[in-house]
Amino acid sequence: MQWLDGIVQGILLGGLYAQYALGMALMFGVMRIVNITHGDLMILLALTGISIASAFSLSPWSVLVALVALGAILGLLLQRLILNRVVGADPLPSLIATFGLSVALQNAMLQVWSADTRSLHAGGLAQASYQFGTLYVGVLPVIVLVTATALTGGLDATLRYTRFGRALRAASADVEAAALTGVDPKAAYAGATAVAVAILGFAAVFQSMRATVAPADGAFQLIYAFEAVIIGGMGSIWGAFFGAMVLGVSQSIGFRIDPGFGILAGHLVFLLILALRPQGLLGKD
Amino acid sequence: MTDASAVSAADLFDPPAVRVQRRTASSIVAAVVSLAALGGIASMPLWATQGQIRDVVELCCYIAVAQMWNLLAGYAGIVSVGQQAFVGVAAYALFIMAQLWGLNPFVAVVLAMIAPVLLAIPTYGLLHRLDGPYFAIGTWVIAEVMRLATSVFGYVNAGAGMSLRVMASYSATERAVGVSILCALMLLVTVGGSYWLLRSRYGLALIALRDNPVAAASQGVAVGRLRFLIWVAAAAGTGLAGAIYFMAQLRITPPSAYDPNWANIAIFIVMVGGLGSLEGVIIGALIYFFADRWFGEYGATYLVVLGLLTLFMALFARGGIWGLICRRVDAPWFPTRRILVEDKR
Amino acid sequence: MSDTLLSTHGLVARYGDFQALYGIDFEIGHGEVVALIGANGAGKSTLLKSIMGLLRVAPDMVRLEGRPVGGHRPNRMVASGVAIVPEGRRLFAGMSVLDNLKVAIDHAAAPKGTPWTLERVYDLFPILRDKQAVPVQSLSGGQQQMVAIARALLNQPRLLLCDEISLGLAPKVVREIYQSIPSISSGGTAIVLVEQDVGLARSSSDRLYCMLEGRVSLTGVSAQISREAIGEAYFGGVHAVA
Repeated sequence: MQWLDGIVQGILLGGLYAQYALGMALMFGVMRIVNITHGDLMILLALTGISIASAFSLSPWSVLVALVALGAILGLLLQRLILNRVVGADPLPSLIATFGLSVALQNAMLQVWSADTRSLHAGGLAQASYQFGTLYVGVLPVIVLVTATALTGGLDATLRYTRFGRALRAASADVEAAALTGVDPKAAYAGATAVAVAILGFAAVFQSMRATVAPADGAFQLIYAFEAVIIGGMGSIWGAFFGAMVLGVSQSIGFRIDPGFGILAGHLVFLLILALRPQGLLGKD
Repeated sequence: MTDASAVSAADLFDPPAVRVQRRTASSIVAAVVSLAALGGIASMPLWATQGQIRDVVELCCYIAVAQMWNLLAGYAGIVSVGQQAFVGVAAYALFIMAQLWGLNPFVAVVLAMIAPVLLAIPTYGLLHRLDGPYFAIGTWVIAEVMRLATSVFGYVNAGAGMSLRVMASYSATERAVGVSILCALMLLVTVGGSYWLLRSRYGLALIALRDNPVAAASQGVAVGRLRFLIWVAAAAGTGLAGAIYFMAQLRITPPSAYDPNWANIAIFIVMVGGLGSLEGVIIGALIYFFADRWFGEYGATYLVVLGLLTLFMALFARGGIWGLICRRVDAPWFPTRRILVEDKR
Repeated sequence: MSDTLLSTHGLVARYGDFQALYGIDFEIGHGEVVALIGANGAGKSTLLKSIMGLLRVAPDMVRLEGRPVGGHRPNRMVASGVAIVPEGRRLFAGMSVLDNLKVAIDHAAAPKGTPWTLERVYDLFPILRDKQAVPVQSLSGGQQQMVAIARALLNQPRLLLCDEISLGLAPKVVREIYQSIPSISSGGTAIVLVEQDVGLARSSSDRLYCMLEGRVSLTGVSAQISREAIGEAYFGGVHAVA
């Protein structure tokens, strides 16, 4: 029973990780860039959300709308001001640029919000749960998982069936050929980054409702997103989703073995999959 | 000196009257200054205070860690943001050997380099399957795994950390002499070793690799093997710096040993000083060291500036300060170029 | 020359320190088919890349109906009615034939004359109709070339640049593809054919340019240029006999 509970809670946790991982999979798929500020941007959105919620006494759902919009704007700015200058075959410039920005962002947030952990007041939702026999399932984690599934499905459908999605896939297959077919690579990149950071707006709200956030947490979210993407299989949107589930379940089971072992168990499963199936669970070839 | 060697490949023809020259006036000055500096560091107990020795040890560790990162990023095309894994594992190896096994700590510092090598080999095996940017994040995961695993590892006192109490059996002077000599050795191995490597047969391959990996591979450079060897060597050098640093600290905990700040420091120093040059590392390390002394009290604000400076360098001045200097004056301290000189007969 | 569609004027282009083109003057009229021949490395593909904005050139060096367009980004050139079938086809791997074509439809220029539709390109290359759901990487070389041409046509070009569309294909397939050229140009689309096969280039074009070491070495009406003149222009004067 304890193990079934571990798996269920792990899948629910995976719903949160999937929301971190989608944007990373998208950006890497389209631009071959890993944005090291990925986690920090989520934290920035979360802290901003917590502050505006208390300043204007907003409900979490209004905060969600605001953060998704803000995320899209931040993504556009990030692309315009920084990533456009460093996108290319050499991974070093983009890594170093976003690494530097990450250090700056973390410390700037430390100045503004101090090192305290904060969270977003979720009202009665935080305690509400469904009961199945002896198994308790929180309502909020279920909402998170459903949202994650909808986001994954939505993103996948966007890539498959829309003009924007086709442009992104074309740019990711061969950016020069895409430009020669009329796609504006900079617009495609800006769109991908805006979507990726906007999704972090969802993650930010749910993270701060489910748990707490502090300025230095971003690095961990970055690593979880990364592990989910690799476990699932690079370049696959649903892969990132399933990778997040595997990571969530690994951590949740590990935590039940020993509370100090939870996060480590996630890392070890990641390394194991890298050793045994480097193309990821859903990856081809 | 074997700096100038005759071109001997053309024996069948009329030998061309050219030599390969690699020494310059500035490099001779730099060589003299470097040797003097090494001597000065080794003889610190004779002229420096305890506080000064501690400062110099710290500076030397920064230089070593940064130079190892530079070797990876600037030549082998490997970006790592998890070098703290090697700092920590070597430092812990020192504490285990010296404190738990009773080895002479000064010998243990050198032996501790085995630990990062043992970690680096399987790490590369796993991570080299990942695409460039993902490799970098992978190194971070390795460092996190080491930190978390150490935190639950009872043998090294888990999260509470360890103290190097055996050092108390040496007098302050003995400790100072040991640390100073080790520091000089570390610089000789990391900076001197890099310089030797870049000027050796492998150096040409490395420079080719830096400029264009695909072309280098087509010219017969075993890119994969070379990258692996550099990765392992950089782990050893980084580990040596970690062991010496924590020997001077006398205390270690998992968060301090595997502090991501080591990667920050290395990246800042190399990017600001100048990627792909030995001179840049020394310039960057001096800047970081003094900035840390003068502005460190501003804490977070200071780190914001550091981060933005790294960002700025990555966007607009990839050669760093040394690159900007090189555009104006051509006076390398550590020349790795080969210059063809025509002999006047 | 009111009938000129696109022209280049003293166009120079370089890859880093290496200069590839030395002052090319080239022009093509509305609905015309012009062949561009020359040995490997003569600068044919470089000229197309310069026109498409993949290489940096001064604005005045390329004019489209008299307007300076040199250095416009490729997507802007497509929007002004210049499309390219790139060397090596450069299809979007992992995407179906239909999705490859839809990318072009999504980003097409405003059509002049009868617009190209999926129906029309399928009539031109019937095999693509059956293959539309297939991922492009599983097609044969000839079929891939047809997708590349169809993709460029769906950009609704007034000028179509074709870079070595016969390269690596069986003679029968080459013939099949070249049969489509007249039906494309009859709709008013001008075509530049970069071609290795001199005979094929000559027979399928109105005029031709021969390039040698980054310069135009010969130009004229295709049907009126002698084989000898082409041979000399192709290899350079000294090579005429050997």
